[in-house]
Amino acid sequence: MIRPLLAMIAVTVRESWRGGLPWLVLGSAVAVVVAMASLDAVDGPSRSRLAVSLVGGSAAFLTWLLAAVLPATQLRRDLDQRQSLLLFSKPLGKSTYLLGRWLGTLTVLAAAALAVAVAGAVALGALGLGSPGMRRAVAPDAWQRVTGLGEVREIASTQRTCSLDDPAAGDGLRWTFRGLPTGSDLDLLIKVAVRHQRWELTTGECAAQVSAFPAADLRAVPRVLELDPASPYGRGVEERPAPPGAIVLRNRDDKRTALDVDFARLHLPASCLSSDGRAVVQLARLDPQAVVTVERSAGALVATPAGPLTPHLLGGVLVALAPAAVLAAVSLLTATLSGLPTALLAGLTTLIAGNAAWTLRETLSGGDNSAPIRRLLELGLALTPDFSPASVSAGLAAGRALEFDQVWAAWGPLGAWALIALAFAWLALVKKEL
Amino acid sequence: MSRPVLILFAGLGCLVAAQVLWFVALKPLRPVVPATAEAGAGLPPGEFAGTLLLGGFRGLACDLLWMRAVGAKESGRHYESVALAETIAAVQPRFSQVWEFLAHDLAYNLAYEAEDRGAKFAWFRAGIAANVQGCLRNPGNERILRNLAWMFNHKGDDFHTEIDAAAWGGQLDPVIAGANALIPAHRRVDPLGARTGLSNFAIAARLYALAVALAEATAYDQPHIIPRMVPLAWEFDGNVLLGQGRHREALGSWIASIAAWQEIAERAARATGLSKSLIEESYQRNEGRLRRRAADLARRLASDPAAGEALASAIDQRHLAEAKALLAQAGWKDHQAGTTIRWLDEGGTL
Repeated sequence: MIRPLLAMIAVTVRESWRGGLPWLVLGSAVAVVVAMASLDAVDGPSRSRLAVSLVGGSAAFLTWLLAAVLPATQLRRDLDQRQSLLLFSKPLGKSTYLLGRWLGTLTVLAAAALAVAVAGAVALGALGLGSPGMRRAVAPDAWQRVTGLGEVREIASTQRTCSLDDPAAGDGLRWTFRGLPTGSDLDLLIKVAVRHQRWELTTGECAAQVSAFPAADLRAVPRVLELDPASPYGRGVEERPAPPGAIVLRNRDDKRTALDVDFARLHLPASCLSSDGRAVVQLARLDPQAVVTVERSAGALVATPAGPLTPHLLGGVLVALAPAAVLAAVSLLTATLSGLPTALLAGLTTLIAGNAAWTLRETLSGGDNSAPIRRLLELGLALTPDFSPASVSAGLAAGRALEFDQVWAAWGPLGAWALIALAFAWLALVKKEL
Repeated sequence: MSRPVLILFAGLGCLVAAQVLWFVALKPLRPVVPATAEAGAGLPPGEFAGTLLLGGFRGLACDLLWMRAVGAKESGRHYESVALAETIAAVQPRFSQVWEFLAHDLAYNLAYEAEDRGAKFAWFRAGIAANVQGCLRNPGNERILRNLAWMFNHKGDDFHTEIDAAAWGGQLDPVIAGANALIPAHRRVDPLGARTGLSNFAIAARLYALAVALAEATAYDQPHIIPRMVPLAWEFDGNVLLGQGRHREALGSWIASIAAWQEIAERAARATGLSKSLIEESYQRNEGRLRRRAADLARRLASDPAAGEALASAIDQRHLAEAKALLAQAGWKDHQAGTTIRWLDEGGTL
């Protein structure tokens, strides 16, 4: 089975090459580089974020568009021009044929996306746009609330945010991190939302003290953590500098996710890590007039350097291939069942539906739908592949390293979709008299 | 007559009707919409490459990109949405909504994310630049021009000092010239040139006036609130100038506002139905109050009480050309001594 499969993959790649695909990829890469050169932004980091978004988004978009078009064209040509008769007269199973076409398409798409991503990465350097410093962020394993009197209370695991609003101040949060690399200093990133105790008054700042227990030992005296000189904020302003041993947190809502811009950065010394990579960090609110709201998943993160952008960009290509796998399989299925126009339409409809799943979810969450509409929407949501886990370019632009979890989150459900579509395509092909 | 012949004639009738409709509907658009053969002319290299590369897929690609851009914006991924909008603008520069989308993202969302005031203003300027580019790529498009006016009127309100200090002619004059070329001579707006000291509302009032004139010239069915933005922007300009102690200039802006309200009154006379009642109500609620404030300020700014009374009377009787001429004469105080700032939400006159 392996030799015929490899042969089909090779045929698919060769046909795409001869069909002028390299020119399309080259043109796309040039267009991306031209667009990067003409990006309009007010400062270097913003231009860099825009450029990374552009490269990641373009590579993914090209892949998806081709996935909806390419396999259907090739399969219909085989069927309509009777090449299938010649193909299936050889020792080639229909499942091998379909799998070969599908894998061949993914190979071509991976090459196309890689070419655009590499061109973009090279252009980032050549145009002097720079790239965001990539960091791998570790979220806390557990968190607890600490009252102004030092009492520690558990927070329900279902609670997504926690507000510190005691009028006496001094209250705070304690985070426990696990699985951290030991032996070297790390970065602790803190981001909170700040508002005034009285709703009618505004404030965007709150003085706070951040400390860590040496060797994660809760009996030891906590050590106050120092602000990184390169932290984007935390020192306060000239007329209101941070009190000694404290930092000034600024209001950052959940939409702000850039690790190098939106988080206050502190040094977490290696001495504060236990031998098994555990750290316990504590934040105390010092300003009684400010209410601090902290997100469980993004309020405190320990960041480790994650190398240059390029490998993550290439990993992003791998994630972007997940929706392409579904599109290619759906395209093959519909091309087996009907003509090329219908197959193209089906592929593009799937592409649109996969990108619009969020609108269905948002409409459903509105809560003011009638029962029939709600059921229709629920059905639509269940039958629609959701491509949103494959949108990683914003995260990359925000300096967040690509994790294997993200690859799995995209490939897990979408891979299942692709396999189901391929199985139906095989059934349809088996029923055909070839 | 047999059935096939009947069907044939019915088909021919439909074709003729479609042709007639096509002529009638497209006639007003001809001066402002370029012919297909000229569509590629004047495209920058990036846009030309994108357009040529995608060929027939251009519309489809724009739809998909647009959907992703909206999704990114809804999820708060503003940098991604800006990058996508820039791509759409390069692929389909005549898609007017994308310029609005891009300008809004830059001037509002990214400005909100910026830390200091300077960076916020820089993003505002980037938004204005994107909107201006959209106006230049779509001459005669009222909607983008109106969005530019709105951005000055609304978002510009956060940056009084910065907008006051900047010279906007270099950026906005090409837009003004482009719109002026499409509207009657008496509705044209003077270029801003190297002038500084214009408030965001003064710029907005001029751009709104252009948008209104453009809509009339192209028979575009503009929402009925837009013409009223011209006098309102002039009045706000007067209020800002008043707050800055530039009382005589404030009076000039208020007179411009009252003059613009007279055009609204004429518009109300032509309107029908709900629009008519809304326009009339707005006119009655604003114009009389503003005339009284302006007349009062005229009396206070006059060195000679008789001259002050003459100007107040001209304003009160809506002899606005005369009022402008009187105010242009020498002998007026630039500001009224001893006044304090009165906030806009405080009642009463100055």
